[in-house]
Amino acid sequence: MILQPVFSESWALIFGLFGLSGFILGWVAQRGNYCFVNAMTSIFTTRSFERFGALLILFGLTALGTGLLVAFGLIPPVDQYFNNYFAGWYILVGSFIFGFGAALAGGCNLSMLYRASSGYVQNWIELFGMMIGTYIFAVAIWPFQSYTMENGILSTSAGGYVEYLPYVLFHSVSNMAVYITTMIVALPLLFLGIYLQMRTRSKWGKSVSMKGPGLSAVGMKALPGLPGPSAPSIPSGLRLKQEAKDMLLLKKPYGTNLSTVILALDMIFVFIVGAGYTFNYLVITSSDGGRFFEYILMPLGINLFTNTPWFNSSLPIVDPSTLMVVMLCIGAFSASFLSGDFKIRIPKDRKRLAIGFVGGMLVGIGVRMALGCNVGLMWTNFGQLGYDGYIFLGGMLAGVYLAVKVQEKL
Amino acid sequence: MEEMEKSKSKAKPYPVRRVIGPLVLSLFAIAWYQFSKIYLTGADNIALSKANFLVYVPPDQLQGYLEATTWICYVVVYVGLMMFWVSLVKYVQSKEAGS
Amino acid sequence: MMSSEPLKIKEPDDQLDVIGESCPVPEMMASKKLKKMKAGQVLEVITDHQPAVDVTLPSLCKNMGYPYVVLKDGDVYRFRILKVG
Repeated sequence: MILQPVFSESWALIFGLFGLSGFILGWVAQRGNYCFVNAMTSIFTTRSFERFGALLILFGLTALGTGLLVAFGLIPPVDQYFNNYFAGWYILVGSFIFGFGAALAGGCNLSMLYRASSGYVQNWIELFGMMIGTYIFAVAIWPFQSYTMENGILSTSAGGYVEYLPYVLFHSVSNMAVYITTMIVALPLLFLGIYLQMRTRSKWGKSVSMKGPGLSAVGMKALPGLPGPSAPSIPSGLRLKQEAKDMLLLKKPYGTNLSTVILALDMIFVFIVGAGYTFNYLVITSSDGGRFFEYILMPLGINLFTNTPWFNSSLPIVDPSTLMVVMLCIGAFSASFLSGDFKIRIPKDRKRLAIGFVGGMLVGIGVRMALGCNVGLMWTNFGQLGYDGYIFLGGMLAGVYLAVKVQEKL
Repeated sequence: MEEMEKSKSKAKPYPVRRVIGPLVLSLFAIAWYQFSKIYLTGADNIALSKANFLVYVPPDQLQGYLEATTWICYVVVYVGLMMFWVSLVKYVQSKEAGS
Repeated sequence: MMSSEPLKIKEPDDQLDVIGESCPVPEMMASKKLKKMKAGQVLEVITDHQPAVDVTLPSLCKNMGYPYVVLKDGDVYRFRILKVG
């Protein structure tokens, strides 16, 4: 099926805009220290839902933005469901393996890339492990997986509009159906996210006030960089201005919710730019593991796409996500360099490097089984109004939980 | 707070990594551009000759990719050189102040 | 009631060196270590991971209700946490 481009930009502009959005993604994720895995581990280690709530808000905002664009007829629904993946056992299993590996290695697909660009050697190793993992997946698992997919064993064999929630719920892709579905998907996510954040914050307030005002000052006094209710004597307007200035001058990281909003807008931007160009999978960062492995081997004269399973059928040699990932790394590097944060960091405990490699391999296997990562499948799929994102979220949470338990034993 | 200020007032040599970093960035951009032009175009031709249209990228898309890469490469190289220059000046200044 | 001064001066009872590590490791290791410590003891986490200092370790402390101080020591941070009962 060939889509009609909604906006007729030139190819160069499309690639360029995808690159720009990748740059923004890398920059903001680095400045906001946005990490999906960390958002989940903090649920299990400290019962803090603040960052997990932010994730839900991110998904909700993305679904709301893309859904409304379609519901008001600005972008045809086909753009939303065209790349909806086939749901099946592999998403649950893959996301579980992914969550486990990512929490072990210390980085999801997004944080792995921007941290690798900020000089974390552990994440370089994880990235390398991910490439190897992708190759293992391609040779060992993909033939079996594609067999089950073709035969519909514990999987849907269609994808596309069959998994488009407006169609699933109303058997229609009319504007009204999309509008109602958008609300059904986005609003609970938003409210749940805000509720979780508020609950965690009120818990913080309570635990601090319970132990007396002296203690609450301890944390604040020594931490000038901490956003929060510090220095009550300064009028709030002035403080906000100062905070904005600090963020622009890269003295201060972005707050979680500010990053969330910018990232959601970035995702919606990609959706608009990519409308009609068949690669409207919004943001993809996981196939880079495989793709860059392929790229590295090219100068050596090995072309994986000629004969290796998965490589020969699943991804074109170049697409906008290539530039997006490269620009993501450049954006993250620029942000970390300009803020003075950039430094080559090697963990003192060398055991961590081995764990990083194994975790990276599991990440590689997991994302390919699930047909995408936490960005390219989970976050994107909420924007596509599919249901794979929910499956992935559940599987990833379970995997992260197991990793936290294992780490406690290590 | 005091500790923060103390460590700042202590004159430390400007780290060399901050000088080399931008240079690596510029070189990376050039390498990426060269790689795209030589190997990705070559790979695309191989895909065409094997008639593997699942990985083959049509010429207009590939051209668009190369064009965008060229422009991005220009920007990144110049920005990288600028950052390199600024850090180099700072590095020399810190050396002079230290001696 | 303990103010921030003793936390700065007092020798920590235990140290956790997570230099070079990134999230979620510092937070996870710290919470694991803190579980094993007694009330009244101080844990010092040494890290160069800015986000851990800005976000994750403070959030850990706030959730547990433990007071903390951050000391900058050259390139690294010493994040001291007092375990309270």
